[in-house]
Amino acid sequence: MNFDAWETVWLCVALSVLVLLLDAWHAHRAGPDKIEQARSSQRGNRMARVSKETEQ
Amino acid sequence: MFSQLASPPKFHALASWFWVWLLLAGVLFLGLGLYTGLFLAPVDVQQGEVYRAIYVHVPAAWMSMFLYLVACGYAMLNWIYRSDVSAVMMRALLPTGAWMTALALLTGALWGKPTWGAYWVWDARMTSELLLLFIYLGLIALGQLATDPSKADRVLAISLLIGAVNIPLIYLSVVFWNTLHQGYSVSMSGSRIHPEIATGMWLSVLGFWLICASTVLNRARRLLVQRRWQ
Repeated sequence: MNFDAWETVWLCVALSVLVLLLDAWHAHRAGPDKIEQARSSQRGNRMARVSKETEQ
Repeated sequence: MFSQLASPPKFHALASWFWVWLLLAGVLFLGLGLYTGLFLAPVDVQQGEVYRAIYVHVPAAWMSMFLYLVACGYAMLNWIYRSDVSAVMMRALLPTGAWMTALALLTGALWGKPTWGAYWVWDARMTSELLLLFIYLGLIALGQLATDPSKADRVLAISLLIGAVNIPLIYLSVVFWNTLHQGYSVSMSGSRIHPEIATGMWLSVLGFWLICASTVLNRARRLLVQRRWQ
């Protein structure tokens, strides 16, 4: 496949924008999953409540 | 000042504030660089319009090497201080470095076809850059192998420093070997690029630098939360 000069330039620019966007999106998904974090904190609260009730 | 940056809560607060502003500034500078390069810069006498690929190819190639060197700096800090911030920064730099290396290779291949007649040749500069991509991918995989994060950090830091031998090899490949890839246009002694062409390139380089810094900080603050949470 052959591209002319401007097609090559625009393809390079489009690829760059795509890669920068993909990297930013990938970075934004790093770290703990929010749902898992919320579940874990709920689990912790429940355990604390149960242990308090058993102590009483 | 630097010791304060090693404090995870302070680093998280600073990174959470900075990454948005760095991103906005980066988009602005990259937009300006691309506008200047694509619409205002004159046509190159030898290559014609296709030379305008430098406005994305050169920043991506420089970032691929620069980010590796910064990761090496954090690897050394991590080896000495074993801080969480240096560990997450070292890890956060790797994916962005890998993306930039892939981008440099892809845009270089697209540029190579009309100028050299081939998308790929086993030229010293291109082969050493491909090796850098494999090193990045290997390090990303290595960082996820060990279950003990501190042990993984140490292995990652040593591997990063060993892999750094490839960076001068990429940079000097056009001097050591007779390559199809052109030699230096910009060096410590100055630039051989015409100022009207160079302006857009420097703006694009600054834009790429700011966007990469923003992405790395955003990833690092999230990895830091994960590390403290687990």
